Amino acid sequence: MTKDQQKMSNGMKQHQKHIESIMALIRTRDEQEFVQEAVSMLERSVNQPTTFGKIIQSRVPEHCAHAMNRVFEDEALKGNTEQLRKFLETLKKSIGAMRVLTLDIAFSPSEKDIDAINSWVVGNVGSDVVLDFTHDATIGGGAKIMFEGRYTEKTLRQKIEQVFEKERERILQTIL
Amino acid sequence: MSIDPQYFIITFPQLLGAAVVAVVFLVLAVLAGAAFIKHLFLTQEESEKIKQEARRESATMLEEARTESSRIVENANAEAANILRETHVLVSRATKELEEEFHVFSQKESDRLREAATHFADAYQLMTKQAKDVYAEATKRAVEAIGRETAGGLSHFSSAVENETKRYQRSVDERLEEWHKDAQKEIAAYKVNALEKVDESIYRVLLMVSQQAIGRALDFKDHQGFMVRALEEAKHEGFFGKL
Repeated sequence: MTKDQQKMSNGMKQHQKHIESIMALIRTRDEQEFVQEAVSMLERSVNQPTTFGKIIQSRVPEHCAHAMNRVFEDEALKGNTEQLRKFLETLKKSIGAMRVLTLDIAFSPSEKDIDAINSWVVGNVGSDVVLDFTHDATIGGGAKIMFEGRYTEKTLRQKIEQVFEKERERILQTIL
Repeated sequence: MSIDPQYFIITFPQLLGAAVVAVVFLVLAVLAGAAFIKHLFLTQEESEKIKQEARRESATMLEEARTESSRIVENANAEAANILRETHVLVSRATKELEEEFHVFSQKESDRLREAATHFADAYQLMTKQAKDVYAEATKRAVEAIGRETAGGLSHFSSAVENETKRYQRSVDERLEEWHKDAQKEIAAYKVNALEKVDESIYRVLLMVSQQAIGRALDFKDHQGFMVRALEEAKHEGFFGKL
């Protein structure tokens, strides 16, 4: 491998690392849409990289903005319009292809909850996963989980029903 | 070759001779014509005479034929009238004879019918009498038989009624027993069903209350914990596939 090839390979690895770091910060479907839209704007402004900071600041959620700004400070991207264009294209495609994990839950999750759940997902499922929360108070707790065409129910309601089914006779005898 | 013109010159004597010959011929022709015309007139008169004669003869013959035919027709009429008269006489005679014969025949038939009617009336009276006798005998026997049957039948009827009443009583008792058993079964089944419903209702209420109570009792930290635990369980069951 020549020195140039080595340099190019290292550059690509670095780009991939940047993309993964950005995707890991995108937690929900809403955030995915915001970031994707922002990347589209950056693509359109690729010849004016000085405007990137402003676009990111105004369009991208706060917790992602810092990381994204840091990425565009990378010397390999700076002043290389072609490299920058390619990077943005790959980033946009990667964000669009993120897998969706739908969670039907009994409460409205706080930022803290979302962070905690996202951390678990990034660590256990992958950094290319976004969360899609829906609300159903009747499940009591836990979640109905849908992912890549599969479904499972891990709810408090289900657990109580299972206990009641198992202990039905004993419960009725106690009451009657 | 040329012809000599001398040949075409006619001389006077030649001309005179020719004139004489012509006159002779002319005289002869006149004479002949006169004779022919005379003959022609004579023939016409004769033929007129012959025609008149023929007309006379034909008129005579026609008159004779007319006379003869009139005579024949008159004779035929007279003959026909004669035949008609004779026929009328014959028909009148035949009719009279037929009427006489018919009168005799009808008289005979009337006598025969009257006699037959008398015989029939006698036979009918006899038969009626015999039928009356037979009917009276049969009625008498029937009345006697009914009397006998009634005497024996009353005791049979009363025992039959008694038996039938007992049988009906038994049937009613059996049916009442059956109804009673069915009703008991239905009540038992209804009891079981009702108890099952009560059980089910109590169970559902308990389940609902538990869900509500436990669900509401959870704080956000618990919810988050449940969430993560749910994801852990799903991962443990291989829900997220090969990671």
